[in-house]
Amino acid sequence: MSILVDQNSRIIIQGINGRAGSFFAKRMQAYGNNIVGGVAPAHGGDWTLEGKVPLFDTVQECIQSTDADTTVIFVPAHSAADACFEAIDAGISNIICISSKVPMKDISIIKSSIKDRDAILIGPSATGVFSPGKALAGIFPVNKAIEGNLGVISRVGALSYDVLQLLYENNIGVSTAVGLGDNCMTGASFVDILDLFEIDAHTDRILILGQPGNIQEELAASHILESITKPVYAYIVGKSIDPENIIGHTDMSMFDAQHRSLNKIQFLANSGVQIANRIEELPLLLKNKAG
Amino acid sequence: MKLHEFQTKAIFRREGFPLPESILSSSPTQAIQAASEIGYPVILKAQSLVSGRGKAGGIRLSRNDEETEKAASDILNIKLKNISIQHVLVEKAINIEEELFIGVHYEAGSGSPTFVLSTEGGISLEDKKTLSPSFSFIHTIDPLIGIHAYIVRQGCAKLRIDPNKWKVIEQTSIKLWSVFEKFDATLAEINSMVFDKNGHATVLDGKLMIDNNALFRQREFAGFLDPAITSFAQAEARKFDHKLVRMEGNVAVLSNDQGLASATIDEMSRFGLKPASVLLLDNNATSSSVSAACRLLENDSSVKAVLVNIYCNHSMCSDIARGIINGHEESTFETPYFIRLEGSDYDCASALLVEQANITPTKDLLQVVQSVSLFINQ
Repeated sequence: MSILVDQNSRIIIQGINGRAGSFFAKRMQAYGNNIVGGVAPAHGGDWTLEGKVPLFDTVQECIQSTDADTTVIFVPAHSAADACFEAIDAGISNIICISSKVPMKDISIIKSSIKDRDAILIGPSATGVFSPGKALAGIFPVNKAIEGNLGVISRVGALSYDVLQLLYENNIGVSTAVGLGDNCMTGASFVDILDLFEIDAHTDRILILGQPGNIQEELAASHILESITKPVYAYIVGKSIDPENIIGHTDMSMFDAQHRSLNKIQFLANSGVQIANRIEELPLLLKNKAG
Repeated sequence: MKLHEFQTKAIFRREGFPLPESILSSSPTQAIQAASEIGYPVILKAQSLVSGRGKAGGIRLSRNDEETEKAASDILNIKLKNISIQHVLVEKAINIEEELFIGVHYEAGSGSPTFVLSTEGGISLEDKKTLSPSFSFIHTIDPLIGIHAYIVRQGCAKLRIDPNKWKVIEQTSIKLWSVFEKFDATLAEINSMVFDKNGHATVLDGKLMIDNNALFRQREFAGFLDPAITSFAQAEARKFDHKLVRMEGNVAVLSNDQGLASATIDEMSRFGLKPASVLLLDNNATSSSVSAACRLLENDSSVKAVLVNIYCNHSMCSDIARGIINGHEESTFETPYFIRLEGSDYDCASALLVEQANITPTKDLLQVVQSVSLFINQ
């Protein structure tokens, strides 16, 4: 099993005609064969992906015709809020926003709008949701992953691809990998996804990939202590970076010395989380516990 | 993007906050002229985006021209973190009876906008350690609801503020929230609002930080980039939607992901290597924008080597490789490149780099960092 998406997911893509949208739509279609529709305003009635996927003008029409449960959003930053609201309004349950550099005001309003709905927002700046062997709803590279029982939650971008590849090379399978996005403000948090993995029968243990920027790792640490029974592992980058040297495209006004990686690692270790200091340590750490 | 005090005040004034009269000057002569227009006593305030101006003597009271000249020339000679002060704000001095802090910012955990009212002046949301709970009211704002008078009243009542002042605090707080929203601020502070003996309120100082990601709809701030802290290279990087961060070491790091860059710096630190700068490529980087990035990095005299760590997911490795080859060729320097690449089209990229630039890339980060270490320490 897996969380959020599996072989029965019905996935649509907002912004399917854009550069990134069409590029990754092909990858998703090739992997899970469960892209049921695309949204491209003023192109409703056309077909895409070699005539296999119907296009719609609006998300509402798209969902009515396809019974989709998951949308992956690839629109430019200035339209991301519009695309998310359209998805929320249409009543779809998994909203995965890949668009990056989305203003904080927009994210905070989207988060507030989704609160009382039966829906989850992954992103913006998300790498998406990937259940190996079942479905891809996002931009993860897919050729280097096998099905398994490790749940992965990431707040890093491309670094998570390196981790997945390393897991693959060491024959460690993944139930689902969730890329929350490397923004300092995201929709779903570590805590939200930890809860999903905790009740997923096929996830035995959970790996967290984090970095400086907000206090999600700290909040996850206290949540793990209180509510998570499955073993948790973590790899947190940025230990050697002076907090004054802010990397990243987001304006991190929330960033301060309290949110340094070293503090995050301390918090997680205090909650019994096994820490990998370097990426190379991950396979051994995970294999030890497996045996 | 953090705004200068005078820039923040220009916006606050436009939005109707009660501010003391002030004039910006950049020389002692101008400061004297400004003081005579405003009328003594005045305060002279160093305009700096680096904190610590108070301790460095950047805020001075003046009662006459002589004092103004001395204060202004002292302030213009101050350097904070090696950045010299360009401007002095000359402002009408106000008698302070009682100080209040009002602020809105995004809270790091929930990401929700948060309203803070405090009877302690002189604090800042950037330095939350100093915020003492017994003198502060903190409210998580639902951005769909915003701030209304009742929320501010709850704070006034909790902090036992004189009810005669509630009305003006309510109005000011609501206005601050509207500024926060209207200008895509990530932080908006009034520090502090003061009351004189007659209960008349004035906003003494303010701080605004604008979301860089919202500059596409906040165009007026695009011109607010401070040349003193934004180098030519950083401004250039921005043109291509790259982000350049300067540090103190001698190895430039070129990456397309902040997590990868962080992991690279962690790995470098094990070998005693320090980054001179980190350049993050835009997701949609093309080979020509990669070339521009390479030229910027090589043009920095402190850079002895360029370490590339790029995972191509949105783009092809060969496009990145072509960008590096061209950028390196066009640069007047012979800075060596050490390249870790991964992703689509790796073999083609590798062949290009070997043939055209005599650089052998690898997929192994550790190996690249070791090579850089050998080169730097040779």
